[in-house]
Amino acid sequence: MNLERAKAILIIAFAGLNLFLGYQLFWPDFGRLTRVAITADQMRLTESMLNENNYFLEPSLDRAVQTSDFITVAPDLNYQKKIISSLIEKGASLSEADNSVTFRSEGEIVTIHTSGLVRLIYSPGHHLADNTAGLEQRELRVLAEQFLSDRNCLPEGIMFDYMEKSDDGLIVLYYYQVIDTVPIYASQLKVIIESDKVYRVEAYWLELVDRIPARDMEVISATEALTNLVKELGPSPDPINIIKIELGYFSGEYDAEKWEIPPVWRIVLEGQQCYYINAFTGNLEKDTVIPEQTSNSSIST
Amino acid sequence: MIERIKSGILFLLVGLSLFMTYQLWYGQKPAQLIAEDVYERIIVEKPRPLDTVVTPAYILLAAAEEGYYLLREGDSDYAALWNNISILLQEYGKENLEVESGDLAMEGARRILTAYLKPALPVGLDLPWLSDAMYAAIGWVDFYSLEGERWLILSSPDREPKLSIPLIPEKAEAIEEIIAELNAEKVLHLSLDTDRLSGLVSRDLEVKNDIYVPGGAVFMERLQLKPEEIDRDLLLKTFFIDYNLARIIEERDGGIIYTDGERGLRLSNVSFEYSSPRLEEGQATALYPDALNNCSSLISYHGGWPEGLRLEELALSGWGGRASYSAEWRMYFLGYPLLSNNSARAVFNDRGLIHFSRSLYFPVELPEESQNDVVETAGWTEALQAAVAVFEARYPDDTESVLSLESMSLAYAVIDSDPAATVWAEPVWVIKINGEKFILRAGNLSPAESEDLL
Repeated sequence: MNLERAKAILIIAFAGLNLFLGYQLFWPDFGRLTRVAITADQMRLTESMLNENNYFLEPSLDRAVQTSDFITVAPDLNYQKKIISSLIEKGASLSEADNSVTFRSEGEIVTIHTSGLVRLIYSPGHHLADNTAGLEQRELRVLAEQFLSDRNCLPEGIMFDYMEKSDDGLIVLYYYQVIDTVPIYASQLKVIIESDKVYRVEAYWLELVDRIPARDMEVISATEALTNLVKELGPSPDPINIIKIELGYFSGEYDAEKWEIPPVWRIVLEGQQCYYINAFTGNLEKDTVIPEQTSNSSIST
Repeated sequence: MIERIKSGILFLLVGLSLFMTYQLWYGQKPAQLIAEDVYERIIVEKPRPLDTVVTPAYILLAAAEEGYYLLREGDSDYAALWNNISILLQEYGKENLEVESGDLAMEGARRILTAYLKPALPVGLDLPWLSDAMYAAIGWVDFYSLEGERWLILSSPDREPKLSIPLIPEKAEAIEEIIAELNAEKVLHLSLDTDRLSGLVSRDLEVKNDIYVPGGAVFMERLQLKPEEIDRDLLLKTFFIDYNLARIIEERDGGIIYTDGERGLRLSNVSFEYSSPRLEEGQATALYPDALNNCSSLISYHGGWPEGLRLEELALSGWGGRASYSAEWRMYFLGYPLLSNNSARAVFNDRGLIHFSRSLYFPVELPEESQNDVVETAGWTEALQAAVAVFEARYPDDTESVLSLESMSLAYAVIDSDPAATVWAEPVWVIKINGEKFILRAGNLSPAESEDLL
């Protein structure tokens, strides 16, 4: 046997060995290096559980294992300052209440709450475009964002979420915040349009104070989040589609200095009903968990 | 040239196969979720046994002269008397002595002692007290004497006699001995009835409950308090199985909230409050004695059950297919209750703890050379007149109705009145008229609003 033939045989043998090893390592649901959170069986079981309960999954799920951490956020004071400075330039008058400050200028009332909520009310409303009801979503978005930018109230990291249109001509555009490519569903901006005019803008915008990489953990799978949601909601009386399932951050609104928020699976049902499943604990996130700040118990002797 | 390429390919394939073999052998394991419950061993206070969970709201002793002595938690004679009666009731069950039921009163008998038990004392099978008797919840224990015979009558909370226990002489004498050696400085109390109140105020007053007030002058110390020190780390571990999954919310007032989305724990410098609203939709099937044991476990587990803290109430309530027990504790100093806006309270059912709050204060131990101020309290007549005046000022349109006096007693109130932020327990009169509580500073009878209380 000459050396050339020996090399050729060895190449074929090692190529075969590498194919076998590659299959063992990388094959989906089986591979040792493919970090899969959802196996094909789990996927099938989840889909059949959803269908039995009248839920139908539209998007495909990311099956890889994902990790996340807590982030610390606070109300975005820079956004508030930006709005306030433009109001001062306009010569707005100021009045203070317990938990808010209100600025009034011609045709505009802006209330900034200590919780971080900013509410801009326009009276008699700003004309946006003719026949807004007939415009496409994309066209409305461009107009609304231009409107916000012109009034110095377009926050950073704004991402369009969805639009609601009612038969009586009311249109609401919903936005959420993105920080470092991570969606923050706790932040929201709403533009309310009626009869071709913008009447109100509400924004609850946050700033990232800190990330806590020491608490980086694997999150539950999307199938587990779906299973937990169905356990919470029970079977749907009518067939309903699940149109989105995404990983982001969410918490209730707190009148606090700063707070940590957990990663969540955001599950959007047809009709834009949103549910947030804590991606660490699997619990449905609710706003009513925190005890009241003061509780007056009865005094008895 | 081709041979060189072949050699290169072979070299690469050998290297790749070695790498993959290594990965297969030692590489990462398949994904495992790590957000699972993590149990950590923690050391907390041992729960009190059932025989120390229930104590009387007060013990009333008939004085030789007209009147009564009123003993409450924090009074050494109260502890000695109740301890004796409690042991006696426990021994009677074990020794299977005579326990009668039926018509229990004896004509002409003198009532020497009454213990009012709130929450009620459970007696009967498998319980520490009267374990041979049928189950009963006892609200009153009366000690009677007639012609050398002594016996206890146990009645339900609404005063229906349930059991009569004839006492052997040495047991009765042990109780009588404590009574005979009572601290001589005890204040004589009067029983208020509608006759005693007639003409005292310009309108009719009726007495709703048994009310006993000091007949003479009372001197009460103004106590300097300090809030309970909370071990935050330990507390966090008692409420959250895996506290790594709890996130922190820092409030503007310095308070800190921990929550995992399902339950929340708010910690301030002086108190904490826990809530798990999802558990509200549950049933409370635990029997009353088991619920008492649960109370003991809860308070011991979440901060401990210190001396002077008394279980005041344990009630079962339900609505809309839900049911829960609610328990409340109160601190006592020197025989007086300490009123505050946030007491210790727990709400629980079969699913677990729904709500828990705790805010406790303890007296500061002063150096020997310094003493607390002593307040001479106003008499009960002036206090009642002042309370009626506050009532009339608050409800100017209500000038005719008969007022109902529901309770009246001296107490301490945690009032934040010092600019240096020192917390004081002020002596107060607490008077309940027509369902409304009036708190008057015991010295000058100036009203203190509930909002003034910490």
